[in-house]
Amino acid sequence: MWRWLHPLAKPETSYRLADKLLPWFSILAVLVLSIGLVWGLVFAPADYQQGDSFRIMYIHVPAAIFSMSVYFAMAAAAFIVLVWQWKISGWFIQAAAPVGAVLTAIALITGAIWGKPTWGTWWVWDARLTSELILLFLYAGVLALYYAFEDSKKGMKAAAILALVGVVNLPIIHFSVEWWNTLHQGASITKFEAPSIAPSMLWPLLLALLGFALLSVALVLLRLKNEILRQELGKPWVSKELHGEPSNG
Amino acid sequence: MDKLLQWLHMGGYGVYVWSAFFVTFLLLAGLAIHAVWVRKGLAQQSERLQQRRSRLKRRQQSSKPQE
Repeated sequence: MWRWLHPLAKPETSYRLADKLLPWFSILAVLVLSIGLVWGLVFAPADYQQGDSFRIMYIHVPAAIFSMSVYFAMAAAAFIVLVWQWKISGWFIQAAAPVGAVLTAIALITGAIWGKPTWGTWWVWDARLTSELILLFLYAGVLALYYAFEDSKKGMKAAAILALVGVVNLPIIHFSVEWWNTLHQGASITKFEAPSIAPSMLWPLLLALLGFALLSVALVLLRLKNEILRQELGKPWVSKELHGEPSNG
Repeated sequence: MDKLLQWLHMGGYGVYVWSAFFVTFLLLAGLAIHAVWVRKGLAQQSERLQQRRSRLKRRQQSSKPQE
């Protein structure tokens, strides 16, 4: 496997790969998201308890799920940096953190907007909401550490350590609705049981989930491309990529 | 037209639903726009670096024959 992975360790090769994948992910993300969200907003029936406010779920649930998935991917990259010192996976941390932070912010904001008419309050300090807020702080901390050192390798390592330690928050977020009494409702879909949601509402949600996944990958790739260029600035291939002429010509 | 207004009204939840979708769109678009902006900055930085390098090279070349 390592022999197969080796050429990817060359920044230019990774850049080309990201460049090739990006348009596919972007186009599919926009397509799937538009279908899913229009379906959810226009054609799905209103909820019998929550009325039309439940439609916020079509962005809230995907954002919340992928705020955690992106964190997991970032932590896996952090592990690789610390164990094998593969620098591109360190750059991945920088690329993924803001995307995860934005997804977390979306989950928190849309949750608050949904909570106001449903629970009668924007915010409660319960386990689910608080642990998700901590996730936002973790992302911010990882990003701050990444840039906190003059020596970018030191920053990368510090960010990686925080990212790894923060993984402990993921199961807390996930199980918070089971471990503690909370206002937050349980999961609408789980892997193990039949979904507790009608098919006419479920299909748009599944599409929105796929769309958010594709969009997250696209945004991380977009940022990863930038970070590779930034780290390799001054190399001939970078000048050629950025303004069409090699730098030592 | 009535149907459209009724849909926008969202059974009284219109403000909540649309503001949630609007904020989401704004944040995601912000990420993409920021990335484009960063790339532009990198291109400028790279160009400046190259100009400095070629100036240095010219100076070295013009000083050599006199030695």
